[in-house]
Amino acid sequence: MPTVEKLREKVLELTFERDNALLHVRLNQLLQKGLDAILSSDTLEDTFSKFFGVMAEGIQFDCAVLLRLEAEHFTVLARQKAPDWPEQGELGSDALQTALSGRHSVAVFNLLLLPIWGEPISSWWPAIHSALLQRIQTRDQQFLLILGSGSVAAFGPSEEKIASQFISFVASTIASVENRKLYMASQSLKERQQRIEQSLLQSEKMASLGQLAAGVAHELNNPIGFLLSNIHMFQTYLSIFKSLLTNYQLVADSGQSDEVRLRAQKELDELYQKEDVAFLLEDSDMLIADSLEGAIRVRDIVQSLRRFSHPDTDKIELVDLNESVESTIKIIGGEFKHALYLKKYLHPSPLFVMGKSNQIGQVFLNIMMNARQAIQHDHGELQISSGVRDSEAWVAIEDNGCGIEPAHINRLFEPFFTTKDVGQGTGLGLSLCHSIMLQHSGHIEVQSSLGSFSRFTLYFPLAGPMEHQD
Amino acid sequence: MFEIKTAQSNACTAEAIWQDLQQQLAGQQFQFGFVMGHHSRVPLLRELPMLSCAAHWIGGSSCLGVITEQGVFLQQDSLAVMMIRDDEGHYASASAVIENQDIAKATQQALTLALQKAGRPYQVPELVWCMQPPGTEEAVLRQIEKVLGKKVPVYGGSSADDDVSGLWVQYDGYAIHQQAVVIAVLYPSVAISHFFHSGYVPTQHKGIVTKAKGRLLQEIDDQPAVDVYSRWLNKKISDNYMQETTLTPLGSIIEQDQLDLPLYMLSLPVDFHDDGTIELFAEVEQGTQLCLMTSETPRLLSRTGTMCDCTRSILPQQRVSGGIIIFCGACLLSIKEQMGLVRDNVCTSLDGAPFLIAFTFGEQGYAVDHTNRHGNLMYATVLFGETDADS
Repeated sequence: MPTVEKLREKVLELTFERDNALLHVRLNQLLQKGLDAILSSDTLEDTFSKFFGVMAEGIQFDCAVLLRLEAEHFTVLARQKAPDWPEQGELGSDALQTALSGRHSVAVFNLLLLPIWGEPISSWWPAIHSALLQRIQTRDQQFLLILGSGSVAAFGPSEEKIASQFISFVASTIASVENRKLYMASQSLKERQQRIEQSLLQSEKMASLGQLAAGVAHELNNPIGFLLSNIHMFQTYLSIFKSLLTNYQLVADSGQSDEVRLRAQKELDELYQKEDVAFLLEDSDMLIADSLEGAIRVRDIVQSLRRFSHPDTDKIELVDLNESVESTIKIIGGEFKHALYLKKYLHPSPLFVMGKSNQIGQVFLNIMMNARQAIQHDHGELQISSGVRDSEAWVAIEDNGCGIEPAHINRLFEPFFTTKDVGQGTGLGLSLCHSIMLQHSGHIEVQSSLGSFSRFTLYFPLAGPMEHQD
Repeated sequence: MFEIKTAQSNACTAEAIWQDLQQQLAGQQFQFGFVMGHHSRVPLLRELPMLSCAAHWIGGSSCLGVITEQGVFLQQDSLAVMMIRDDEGHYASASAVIENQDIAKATQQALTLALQKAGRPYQVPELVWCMQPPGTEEAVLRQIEKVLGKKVPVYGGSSADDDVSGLWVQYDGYAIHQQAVVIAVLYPSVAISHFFHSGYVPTQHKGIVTKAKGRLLQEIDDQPAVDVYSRWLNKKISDNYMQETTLTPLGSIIEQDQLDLPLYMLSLPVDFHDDGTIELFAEVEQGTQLCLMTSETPRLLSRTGTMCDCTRSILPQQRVSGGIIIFCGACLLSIKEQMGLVRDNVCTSLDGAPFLIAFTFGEQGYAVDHTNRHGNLMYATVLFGETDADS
């Protein structure tokens, strides 16, 4: 075969392939314009009404309607050359389902043959013989686009394909836009919820601090009391030490007259007779050591309170649960001291988790406070333990108080649920604990026996693998 | 689920044919079946419970036999089926006997019934397949377009025998006919691709049809058609016309706007009359420009494979489940000894997917100019993809 004929044949084959590619080009152009229509529209109805113009560039038709479908009726949303169509009609998606046998895009070559829908459409469009029906399904609505033509069998498989792909794109784009809007709305709600929780957390913290104030004051008062006492005592010792030192200086000063030096010696002798100087020296060391210890206790309590009362930040850091438990005990220790016996069985290694230290401290404090309040008898015990289970660290706080009614266990973490008397509890403490635990990808387990004990176990994902697990 | 399977038999009794088919199809149920075979075998179908295998059938006689991916079966004793299982598709066929030569009426009846049986009497099918006796192709196409419009691709061919002696038959799943139009409407759930072309190229010999009536070509450039044709061939046609003219048919030149290259719709001269007129196997219109076409055996052998390549190229991911190919019976008669090459080419092109090649006397298809046409010496390929175009 001559080369030129081979080339002719190749050109023909390429033409065949080009025609198919052109179909995609037409479709792509439609998609582009459809996208513009969606992005420039505020409402779904507005979007669809622009489609007639867009569709006309891909498919030839004489008239069109866009319907919103309910089960048993439709509403016309947009129309083009369809003056006789009613605003609403008693034809719906149920009847369409039967008519289209489950298909989404159907080229109807003779409208009168279309069951149920055909006759009414023909009466509203008397001059229309053929139609292209395209069903559109979005997240929660169903629409029907009908393109009509005065020609017999104006639409074929290629029109079906264009309409189907275009509408499929439109539906998925609209769904994406709807999803985006929903996502933004949910983000906004989430942020609002976070702000409210933050505010509640702060309020709850302040409420806890209020309840703790007496205990904390007592805790501060003790060291401050003996600090004052020690300082007073040391002040007395210091005046004796000063007299001793002054007289020693006079005795040792050769420039002084004999009379002055003798009087100084006499005073020294009298001081030694009157005061037990050796004891004073020894006691001074103890006073200073005790005072330092008291000052450190005060500093620790103040630091814990500051850390606890500081407004929450977004700072996520490595938190040692054991250290956080100890810090909380420092704050609440005053409450416990005379009311219950505290037992600690903390894991020997630090239990590092990722989180917000003050929020974790808040959880421990709330549960410890509840435990304290649950103990009404005089043999109260609070047992705090920690450990590791698989990839989680846990802290358990168990009291031998009044326990929890079985019916209340499932409601413990509901906001505003409280069994305390009015004014005694906000009902938000455990709800906030639950929320904080969720934010830390953790969870709380509650075990209780009424009149016997309650055990709250808090699980946190470990920040890294533990070398030693219990 | 979409699946295509083929099965073949060259048994000589109905019972043995049924056993062969059942064995190869493993007793499976299908929605639709194409059946083509030698005119000596197709009539045996009426004795077989074909409807137990598929609810809808279309078929007829094929020149010499058939070819499938399983082999070349041209020993005048074979029959093959191509079965479609498509759980989400819709298929149906129907037939009507041509009475009083009213082809339009028979076509209308068969088409309407097929649409109703498919449960979609209102919907344009994805593809229409037709099988009719030779000489009725244009009228069938015209009537289908009158009902469904010009946008639906119509493929098919005329039932054939081995020597144009009139032994051809048509089959609709229920009965064997000699003068019936059988029409199938297809709404497959997978993408389809189709291509209709020939294996011929034009020569420099051209003329205008100045007198013609239907399939009778009377004058070219105001001269007797036989004289002009003989002059173009530079020889006098003797007997056994079809063998002599198969490699030198006439082509109606169809100018198309979208491409500078014209299309050629071929007509095979089958009879030369003493009055200088030529009987063709396809209609020609007065005013049409005619061209002497030519081809060579290697080209006729390779063309089906290259057409399958082209058709497959536009399927989604170029994945093909199977296909049906119509090959001109006249072409077959001139190259029958080498048809193994055609099978090999198609097998390679379709990556071993199942296919059925049938040989007809008059082919119908959707030409590159987006028009349903009838021609002689044409090839038609319809391939089914594995997925829908949207997926």
